[in-house]
Amino acid sequence: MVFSSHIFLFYFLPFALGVYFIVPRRPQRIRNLVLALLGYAFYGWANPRFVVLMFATTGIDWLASLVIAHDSWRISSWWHTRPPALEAGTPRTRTQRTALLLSIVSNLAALGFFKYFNFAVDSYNALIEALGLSPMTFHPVLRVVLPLGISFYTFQSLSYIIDVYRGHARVMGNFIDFSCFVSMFPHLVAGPILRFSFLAGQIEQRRTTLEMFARGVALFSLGMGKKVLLANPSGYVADAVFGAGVASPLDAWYGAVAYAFQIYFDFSGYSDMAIGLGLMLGFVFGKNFDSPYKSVSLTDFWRRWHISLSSWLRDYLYVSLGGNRQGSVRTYRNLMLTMLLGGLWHGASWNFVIWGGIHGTGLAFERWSSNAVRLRLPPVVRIAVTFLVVTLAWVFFRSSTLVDAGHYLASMMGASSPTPLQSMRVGDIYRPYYLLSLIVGAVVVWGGRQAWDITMRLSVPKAMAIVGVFWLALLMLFTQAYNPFIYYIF
Amino acid sequence: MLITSLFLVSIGAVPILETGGDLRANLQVRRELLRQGVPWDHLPARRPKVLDVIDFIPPPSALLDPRLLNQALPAPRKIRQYEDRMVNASRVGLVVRPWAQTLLTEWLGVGSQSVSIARDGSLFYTEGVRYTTQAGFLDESALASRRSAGIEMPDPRPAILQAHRELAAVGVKLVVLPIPDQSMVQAQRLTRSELASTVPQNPSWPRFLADLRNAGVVVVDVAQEMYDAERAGSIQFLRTDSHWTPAGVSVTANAVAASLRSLVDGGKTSRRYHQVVERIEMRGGLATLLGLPPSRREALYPPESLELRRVVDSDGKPWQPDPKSQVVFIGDSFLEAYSTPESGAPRSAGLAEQVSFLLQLPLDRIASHRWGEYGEREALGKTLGELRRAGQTRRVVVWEFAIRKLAVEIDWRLLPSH
Repeated sequence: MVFSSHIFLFYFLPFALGVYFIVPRRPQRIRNLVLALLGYAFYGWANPRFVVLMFATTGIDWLASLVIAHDSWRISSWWHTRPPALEAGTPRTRTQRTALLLSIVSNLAALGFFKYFNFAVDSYNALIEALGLSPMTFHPVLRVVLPLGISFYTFQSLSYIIDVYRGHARVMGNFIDFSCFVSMFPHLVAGPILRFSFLAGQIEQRRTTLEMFARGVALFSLGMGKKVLLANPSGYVADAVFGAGVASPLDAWYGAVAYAFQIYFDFSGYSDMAIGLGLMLGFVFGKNFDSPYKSVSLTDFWRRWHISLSSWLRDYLYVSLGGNRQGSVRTYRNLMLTMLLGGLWHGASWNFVIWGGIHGTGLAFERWSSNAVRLRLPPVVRIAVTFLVVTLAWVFFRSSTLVDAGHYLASMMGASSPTPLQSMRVGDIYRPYYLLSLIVGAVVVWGGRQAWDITMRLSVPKAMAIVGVFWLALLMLFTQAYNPFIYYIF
Repeated sequence: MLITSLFLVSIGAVPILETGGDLRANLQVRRELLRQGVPWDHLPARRPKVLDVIDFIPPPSALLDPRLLNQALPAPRKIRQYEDRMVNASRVGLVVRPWAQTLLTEWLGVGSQSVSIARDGSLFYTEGVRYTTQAGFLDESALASRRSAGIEMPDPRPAILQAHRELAAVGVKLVVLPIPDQSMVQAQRLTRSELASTVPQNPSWPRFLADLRNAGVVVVDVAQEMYDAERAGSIQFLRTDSHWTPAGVSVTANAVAASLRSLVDGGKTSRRYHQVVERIEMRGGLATLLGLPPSRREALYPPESLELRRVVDSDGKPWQPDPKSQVVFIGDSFLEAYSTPESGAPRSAGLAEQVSFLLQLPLDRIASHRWGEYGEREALGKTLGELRRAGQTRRVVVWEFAIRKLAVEIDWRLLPSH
């Protein structure tokens, strides 16, 4: 189920809001239970069988967190009690380390198996065949199907267990409350990745005011506008050009920019909708995008793009590797490793690794090179250069294989000519609809404010304009049979 | 308050209107049945379509048994079908969609999910364009993608070869006739680039053709002939429909007749077929599929004027299929076109009729546009069953289908023999 679908907008959401606000506000746990169950129903809509997986990993993480908090495997001794947060910075016992390891291994094992098994098999076979050892190739009978959103909810659970272990958060004594944190539907399948320490208080106590609800509506509406009115037409152009494989330089650049817009409006639109839904339900999630294409450097870009993921990678991976505390060379290594793994998180393919590598190299280079040189350049030049690098890196992100990415980059440089059949695929990308969405997209990206800021204060004219965007998006939605979020597949 | 109220009304009004509409429709059905004398306790229980979601909830007893739970949980495909039903049968959508499409088509120059607009304003079926321009339908990535969408057998070759073998076992020759897509034959309307003299084709076509011919299957490939005819000025496809013009039928009929001449016994027949010219006006199906309001559809895509060559016998009666003939045509809407009342045109001007005229032989025809997910193979299976059970005069089965079905729409799962 996607937020911008007929079934979600007109059936699931009214039902969810109705049930949520009908049940009593106290004890809060009742509403947490409602949210958890709605979350499972929402998740199970894509494939009911994967609910079992999410339930199992949630159960393991919750039990492991209780073992860490109580420092004991004896369930009977800590049932119905909730100890305070562990003291940060103090050594942990073997029991606690084992429980942490168990949780991390189970999460990463699930993620690794479902997301990377096929990739590992394909890579192994490719290597074996390249070495001329074809009889040793491995062809499993079944191909593993990727459960939706597994990358998001496992990272979320990991943040919880690590925060409890580090003493940054108090354990959740009740499984219902913890399930609510993991499975609440606004953020479940495509983020934002919520830090438990940020959300813990809101799980236990929250209140929805009319002002919060209205702001949530506004964010949701603008997010839907971004998705339906800007991301979808950009996506059509990107699909046409990337699908052709080889294109004229103009078409190739058009397609690349269209993809940059598609992925931004798709993902930031989804995040706005998720944050808006959270506000409607009484939760305050953090901003997840901050005008990333206005970045003046790649370092700046990663402070503005998918903020919940980049901060997660910084706090749980980069810092754990040593961060920038162990000298320049190790800093560059840590940056590179973090970005390579960040790339791999996005998808099980060498394309994503290369994409991560480009960003890692860029970040390391910026750290190494002198700021003085870069800062002398006018901001508009720095913004343009950063956008250029990001867009070229997106080519790897979008292409199916490294070979396809190579062909596409060659097209952008004018090094190849499309065949008549390939040019047929891009026949209608210059229609007014697609050009208009590109222009409007550019205005929004470089001239507009973030939805987070626009919705801070809602005047009547602003509210009407936002409702107009929502209604226009609904109108377009009726002509579109199906329009999934692309980050849905992660 | 304003934005909240408007939002809640927007998302709440639709399910209320839809459910209310369903209840009202159900009530009307029940009233009608009561008027017809159906007893009260025999009236069918019908619920609003939104409540069909209840069928997805497993019974409590299944929650304790993993095997029962696995059986009770719905398949993702069933959930997608429910979603599609909710969207396609939406009353609000029926009202809103035409005007949204008007905005897209008239003001912004684009079609819909199913209909693409070419550079000259003619309409193309999007799935057909995808067949022509996408990666090879036999590429592993394409096959994997179709499998993940729930298609059990995306590769068409095994099913076609199965049909070939089973027909050969009863002494019948299979002739496969994939009808080229409009986007192949009229490719120039879709691109600014100058096209080659060779008809554009899906990259997997040569391999597909070679595999079938090597196995002894006769494949009539008319794509190049139709492409050449189009480039010479003979329009092969309708402007607002994915089907062929009478000229397209004629080019194909000539190619099919040439293939059949060596396979059938000319023999002596008392029948003689003639052609009678008739002009008709025809409204294209893609113009309707675009979903514009009727007034805008009429203005933008008026009916096309066509010259039909109706085939009549020596008594002047319209051509009729002959169940005893040596050759039976089995096919889809292309076979129906200009042939049956369902195609919206007078009878006896379709492909089978033209081939009958060219060969001066009676032929049989089994055509439908509603075969379902296995296509015409259901009819093939039944024909095979008849061939096995009774004494038969068949020598050739011509299996016609739209070429795009090699890549989309159809599950080529092997069907049990009749």
